[in-house]
Amino acid sequence: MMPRIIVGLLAALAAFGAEPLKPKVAPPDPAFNRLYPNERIVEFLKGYAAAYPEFVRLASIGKASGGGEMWLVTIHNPTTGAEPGKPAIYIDAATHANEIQGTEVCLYLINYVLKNYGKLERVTELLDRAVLYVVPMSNPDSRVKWFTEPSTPNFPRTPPIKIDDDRDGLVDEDGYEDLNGDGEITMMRKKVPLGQGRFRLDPKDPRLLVPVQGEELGDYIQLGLEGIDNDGDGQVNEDPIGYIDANRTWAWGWQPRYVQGGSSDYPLQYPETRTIAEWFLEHPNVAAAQSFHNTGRIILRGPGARGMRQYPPGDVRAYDLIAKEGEKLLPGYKYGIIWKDLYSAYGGSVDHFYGVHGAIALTNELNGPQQDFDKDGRVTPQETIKFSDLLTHGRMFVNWKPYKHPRYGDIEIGGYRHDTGRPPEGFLLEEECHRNAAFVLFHAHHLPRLSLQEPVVTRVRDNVWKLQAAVLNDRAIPSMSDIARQLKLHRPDIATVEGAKVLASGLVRDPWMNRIDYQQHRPERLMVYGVPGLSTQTLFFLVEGSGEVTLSYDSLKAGKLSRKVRLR
Amino acid sequence: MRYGIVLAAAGLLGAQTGYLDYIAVERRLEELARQHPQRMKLEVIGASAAGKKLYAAQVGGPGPAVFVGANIVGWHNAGTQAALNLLERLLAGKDDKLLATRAFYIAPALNPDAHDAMFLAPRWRRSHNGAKSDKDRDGLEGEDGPNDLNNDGRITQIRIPDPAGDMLSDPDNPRLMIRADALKGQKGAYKVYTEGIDDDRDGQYSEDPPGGYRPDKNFAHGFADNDPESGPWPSSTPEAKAVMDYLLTRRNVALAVVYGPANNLLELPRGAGGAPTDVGQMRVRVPRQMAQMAGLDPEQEYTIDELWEMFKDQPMARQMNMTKEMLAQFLGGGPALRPDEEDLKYYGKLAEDYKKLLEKAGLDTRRAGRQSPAGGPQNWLYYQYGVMAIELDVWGVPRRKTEAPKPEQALTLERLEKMTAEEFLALGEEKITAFLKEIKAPPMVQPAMLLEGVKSGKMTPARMAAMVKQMGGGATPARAPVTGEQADLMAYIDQEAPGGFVAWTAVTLPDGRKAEVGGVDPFVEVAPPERLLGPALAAHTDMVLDLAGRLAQLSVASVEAQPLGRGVWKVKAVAANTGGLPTHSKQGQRTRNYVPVRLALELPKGGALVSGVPWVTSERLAGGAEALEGEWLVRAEKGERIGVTVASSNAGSDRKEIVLGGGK
Repeated sequence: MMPRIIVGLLAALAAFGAEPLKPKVAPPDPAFNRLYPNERIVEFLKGYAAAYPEFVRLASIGKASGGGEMWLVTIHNPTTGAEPGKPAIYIDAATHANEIQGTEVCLYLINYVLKNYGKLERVTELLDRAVLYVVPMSNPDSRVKWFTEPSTPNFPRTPPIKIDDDRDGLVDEDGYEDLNGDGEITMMRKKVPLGQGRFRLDPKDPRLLVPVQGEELGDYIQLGLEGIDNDGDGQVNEDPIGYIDANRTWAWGWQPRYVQGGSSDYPLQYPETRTIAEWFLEHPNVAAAQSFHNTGRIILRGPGARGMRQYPPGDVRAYDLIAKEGEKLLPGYKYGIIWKDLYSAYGGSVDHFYGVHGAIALTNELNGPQQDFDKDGRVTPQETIKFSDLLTHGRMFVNWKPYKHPRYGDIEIGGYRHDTGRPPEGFLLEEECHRNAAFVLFHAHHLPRLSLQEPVVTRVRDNVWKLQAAVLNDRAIPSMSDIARQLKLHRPDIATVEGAKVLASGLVRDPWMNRIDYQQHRPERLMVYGVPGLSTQTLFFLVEGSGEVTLSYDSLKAGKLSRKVRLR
Repeated sequence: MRYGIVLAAAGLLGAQTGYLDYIAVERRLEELARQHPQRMKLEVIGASAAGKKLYAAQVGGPGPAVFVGANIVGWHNAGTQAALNLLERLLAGKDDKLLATRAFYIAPALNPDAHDAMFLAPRWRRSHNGAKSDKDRDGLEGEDGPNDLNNDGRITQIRIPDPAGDMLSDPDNPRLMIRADALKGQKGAYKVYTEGIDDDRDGQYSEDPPGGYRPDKNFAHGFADNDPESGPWPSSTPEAKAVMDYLLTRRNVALAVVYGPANNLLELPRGAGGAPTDVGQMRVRVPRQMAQMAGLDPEQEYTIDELWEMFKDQPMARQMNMTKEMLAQFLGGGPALRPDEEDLKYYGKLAEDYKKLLEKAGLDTRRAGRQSPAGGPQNWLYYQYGVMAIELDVWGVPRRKTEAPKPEQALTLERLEKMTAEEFLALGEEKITAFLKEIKAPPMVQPAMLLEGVKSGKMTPARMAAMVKQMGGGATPARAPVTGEQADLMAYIDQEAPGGFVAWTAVTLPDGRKAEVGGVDPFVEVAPPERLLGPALAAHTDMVLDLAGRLAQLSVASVEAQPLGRGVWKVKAVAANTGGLPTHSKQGQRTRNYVPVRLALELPKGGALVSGVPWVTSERLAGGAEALEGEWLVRAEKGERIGVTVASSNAGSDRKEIVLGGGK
């Protein structure tokens, strides 16, 4: 009878038995205070796959609209079991290509788990029992454009799909132009005779325009983003590449374009999302998901739009536990519901992953304004430009310069660069990456974890036995979500006993009062509609047999368990 | 032999002849393409789940097009025959004038994997494509399909005596089973299922047959997200995706005909649910983030009109090409769920003409027409692709002839609109009372009042109908429900299709219980013998040709140039739609997924507009009084030519030219 302290030590050592990963070649060592263009990201991903070939698999799951590869990274410990038998979390980023830093968060996460496996218990446990699927760039073609072509903080958001936005029979004929050749698409403004404008120069800072108030007359007009009227229709920049909002083309709750701007002609029409949706059909073990976007410092779940199905309360409990903890890990972030706290969005990824696959899916809107210097709850243009001046020494803002515009005449061009506002400045990026990666690890920590407790065997008579065994889920995500049961999304968990004849089976509703919900038909295949998070389901079998039997529990999302039981 | 056991009782219904199995359809299409290389273009538009090719044939054009798609439900082989009948007619050389300006896209068999279930033994109504799926979510795929227990080569029904059963023999038609009605003192005695046993012993019968997903339920409008057979998401079946991709690259389609089990002209489409018709009056709350940015109160409700006033001039709204409808949807408004009132008027007109055609062909028009199902192709075509979409079932069991005198028609809103005062007075109180009840008129409105009003001349029936409509009553007049369909079916079987009913015969289930197998042949209601099918095919081909002739047709009605002096001219052009149908349906207009009708000037070299842009557009030209007018100030010399074109993707185009200052 060993002293308890030694038992405990041995148990801890057993869990800690995993060794840190020995890389085959020097693994990548990216810096996390900068944004990397696509080819560097792909180099890094290939580098991790080369350094840790057992734990990491890199593959393209298809080509995006412009031919770019959609790279998927799979990470898990192959020696602890095959991939399909493990619960999994799926992470993607930059569906809106301009929402750029989600890719860096994915890179940080991949780097972190591989370099800390075997050193940090929570990381080791996760990679041993679960799978991480990461698609760091789900709109690769436009992401390339954001880096290599003149762009803005908001453009390109769309994949490069040809859509006649202004419905004039010409496609993508009038987009932005970098008129002054400075590599950025900034703003145009023009001084006009007094009384013809709605703005005037901020007396404290002529780089800023302020709207006229009271009895003031204005002498400036804002002309929008840099560009010309390419097609002579009287409008500027009304039909750039796209416009498709890939995050409105997912299937659950999808609506056509007249209901949801940026939508497609039918759900999953384009490869940026269809490729992933088809991949999901082959990977029913995914029980959790995260899609990184920016900005706003919000942790969001669905429903995406008013009038969509309400999320059932059991699942909301899992969401609440994970997202509310996220508010603590991510200072300033608030947990919200998309339709209620943001705006109605039909056809988003989180609704799809939840409503089609039953996965507990969240989307983080990364980053938010950093410059509320006077802490009054508002960030003014003056505070923003002070941030640029004194913390980035003018890096963020391109000062106004005169330009002769073919239509507007003498104007000025200037404004914030494309890599400002939405992604944080480099000196703030690493913290954002770490905290969001930590949140993903917390989310993944709560993938369902099932264990078969010690069965209780009672003889009824002769060779007929009662067998009761509790299945414990000691994490917050259920092994089958409420929505999956409600909408018949996939099969339930199935419990079986091999080695004896099953006469009856069911679930124990009340162990003290011996109340059992029997399954009416086919008792040898007991269907269990999930073990809820942080909870137990107790299985009941009435069997005829002797000796040793095998009790098995097979969950699509939580893996397979089995236990030998002596009928005695 | 390719099909294995062919139904021994093939001659029973005579339904084998006159219908082509899938290979025969393919061969026929290839043969026609070979024989008519100039007229017909055969395309492979995709592949079914099991890898069979999906076909579409193009005949005629260029110009506005009619799309005809058939048998996506899998067991509506009469639809395939109707589509082939149309194709053969178009290739016969009689309609070349029509084909010069109209195109036809015909896809005769859109569910190849299910198509042959009518020909293979045992015959059953299969809709699933050739993928694998677990329809009852028990972890097994295709483990419990129907079984031919009485070896008659077809799947009918099984009735199992059960005191807890809900079915009994219909006292009026003892061969048929009906649900027990407690109010009539009936007591259930059987459980009735599709012919088969509980192969997987889960308590359900034939709930998971071999096969994958149903393409006919795989479209987005009304898609059922809780039905494994519909597929995980709209467009997941290759069959549905192929049809949509094909049509989305052919925006010259102006009208779509679906040959399927519903009939939108015998029974006008009713849609599902409701939507606010005046988007502007919708009241919404602004989500917190947006409210804060805009300085609004997130707790307060605003109308869309109010919010549109605030947002419409914002740069963001302009750059997003935002409309009031988009703003409404952004804030939580939903999609249209009912056919537009204007569109229904056209459906109604087409229904009248369709019924005349059927009557001339000796076909029944009193029979019921099913509604197009949610998640089906017709609803996608109408609500989302945005064209007039008409589903037709080609043939249905006719109403039986009754000895009793034809009951007088009940009063409906349609009749009220057109009737004279004398006709109204002749109706009598009973009919008027029934009508008032149906439109849920308030109790203070009494028949005597109305009769008095009409008699004294203070009121006319037409004005009464208008008032009813204004009050919102009788919006989409549903036909009086058709009763006695079971009796019609048995009468039809007895007269025209003996053997269409299988007498109940005893079988023993695996667990020893005794049951009986029998019931209606799965195809007797949908696949009539050739002699009855023929007239229906001809009538429907005539209907589609007639529809094609009515499509919208744009023309430049007039061009004038008025000299204002000093080389400045006022040029005025008018374009009109000379076809019978509008350029776009109202629902199509709502979708905005097309290029609007454009009336444009071609300026001469050296000519220029004084201001503005050289075109005007219209979202929809209904025809008749509606026209598109453009007026421009042009700087040009006398004697120069000005061209005016009007064009749209689906209503053709036209061009006229004038010489400034007259002359040719």
